Amino acid sequence: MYMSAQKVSTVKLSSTYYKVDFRLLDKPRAKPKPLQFVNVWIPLVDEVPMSISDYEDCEDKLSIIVKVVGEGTRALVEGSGYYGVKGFYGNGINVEDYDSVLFVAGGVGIAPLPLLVKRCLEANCKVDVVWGVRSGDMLFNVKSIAPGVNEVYVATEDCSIGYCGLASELASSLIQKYPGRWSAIVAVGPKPMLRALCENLGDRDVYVSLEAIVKCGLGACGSCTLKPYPKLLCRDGPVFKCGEIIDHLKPP
Amino acid sequence: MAPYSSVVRSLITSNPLEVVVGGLRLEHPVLNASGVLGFEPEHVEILARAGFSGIVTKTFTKDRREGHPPPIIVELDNGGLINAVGLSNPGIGGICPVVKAAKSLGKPVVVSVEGSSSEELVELVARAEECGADAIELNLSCPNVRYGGIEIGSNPSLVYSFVRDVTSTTKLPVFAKLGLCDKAVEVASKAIEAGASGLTLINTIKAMVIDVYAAKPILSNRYGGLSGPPIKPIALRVVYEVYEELSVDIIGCGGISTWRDAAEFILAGAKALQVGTAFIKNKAVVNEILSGLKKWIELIGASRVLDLVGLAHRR
Repeated sequence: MYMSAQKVSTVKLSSTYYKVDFRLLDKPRAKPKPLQFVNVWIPLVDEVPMSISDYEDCEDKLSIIVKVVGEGTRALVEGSGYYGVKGFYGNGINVEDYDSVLFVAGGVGIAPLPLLVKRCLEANCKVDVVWGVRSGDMLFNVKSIAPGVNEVYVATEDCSIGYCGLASELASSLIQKYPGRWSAIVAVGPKPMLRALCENLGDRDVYVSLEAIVKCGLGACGSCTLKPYPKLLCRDGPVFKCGEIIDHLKPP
Repeated sequence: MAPYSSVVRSLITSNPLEVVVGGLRLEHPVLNASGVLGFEPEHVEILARAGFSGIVTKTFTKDRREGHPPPIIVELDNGGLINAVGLSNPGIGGICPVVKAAKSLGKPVVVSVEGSSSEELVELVARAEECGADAIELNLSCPNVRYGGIEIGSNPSLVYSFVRDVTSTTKLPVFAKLGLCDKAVEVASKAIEAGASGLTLINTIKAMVIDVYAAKPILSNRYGGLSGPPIKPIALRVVYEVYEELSVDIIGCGGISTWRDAAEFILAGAKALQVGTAFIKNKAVVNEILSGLKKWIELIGASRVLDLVGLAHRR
């Protein structure tokens, strides 16, 4: 559905990431699920798909985490006033079935963590996090946006903080070190990271959240087709088990 | 062997939902509406799995089109959708892969085309025919493009010449897809006079939506095409009116979401139907429509859907 929204605030989290909060002026039909997404319309500028980072039911407050990559995301961070929020799109993930989740994030893939943690805690499930970024200055305190999170492990490619290397490597080594500690792995990040996790960890309860160009969000325009599968990210995803989507993750 | 094959034949011919429209034989009347997916082989598989009896492709233009920038679609509270995708498609080269995908899934395929000149149209239609298309749908009514859109579709003499250009160069059945206009009957009759095997009625209706806080039109194109339940009574009226005057083969399209909507269009004169918006909202819509139609046919004591086409015109 289409909801009018008013921007409430922008908070700079690190050198690269901003938290942007909106108040929804129309009541959504249902509460969002973790890993669902919205298309945010920036009047006269663009419309961009954004992972739902957090949601406060009573205030109808929706948060997203933004990395400035173009005109649209810049307008999200710097602009003010009224916007449009379309969603909630995608199927998201049901965390109720798990008692312990390892969330593996690459870069801005950290965005959906707060809502995931919130829903997990409601279902008595705890969330540990592996977060990998290119350089240490991109990091921020994860507990500042997701206070209920359990352990946080960080990896940097410039080796300035935490594990020296990729999130996928750190996650794989932790899983090897603590077999059986997590009943589900949920990964959000760039394709090579997701591919590496799927290859290393096999199919069992490893969920990956994909990205694609999403134009309509409704399964009409076909822009988010996950070739070679007859699947659409907006309608069938964005979360898949590795086995459902492994050919899509292969390099072209 | 003989008894067996005659049993099979009687099973096939006794399919109460089978229809023939404009020379196109379909196992049941429900096609997808052009514009919902339909430009990649993967899309064809999604549509085929949803149970459509044939695949109508996204409208192909000669050159690749990026379409309009987002926002290209808005859901309305009244169940309607307004879209201004802007005919994004991969161009003429995209036709064969889509046609082949449909054929490999055993589905008849209607290739939708739009051109800014008769040369372009002829080239597109020739390609579709080479690839094995079963029919052509000539999109003469897109509300979202400058050329070849609703301006042509509401001009009887232009419709005649565009349709003539196509029908004179192809053996395939040609359906002219027309939009809402004051001269619907006149335009429709020109299309038939020019050799169209049938008509697809109607396209989306030019419309818009404004965000009252941002105080701006939401679509980047400002205007878009309204589809879904809000346009159903209008589309139904156009089908009824054209059938009343011309008794031609019609594919009804516009807000069909339930078997009851489908039944109304059939009674108004449609031999086949296209479903777009309802499929976006409900993946099971085709089977729901079909099982409803079957029960309806049985209940009113008819033997097949074709016997009911245009029945509402009987006085």
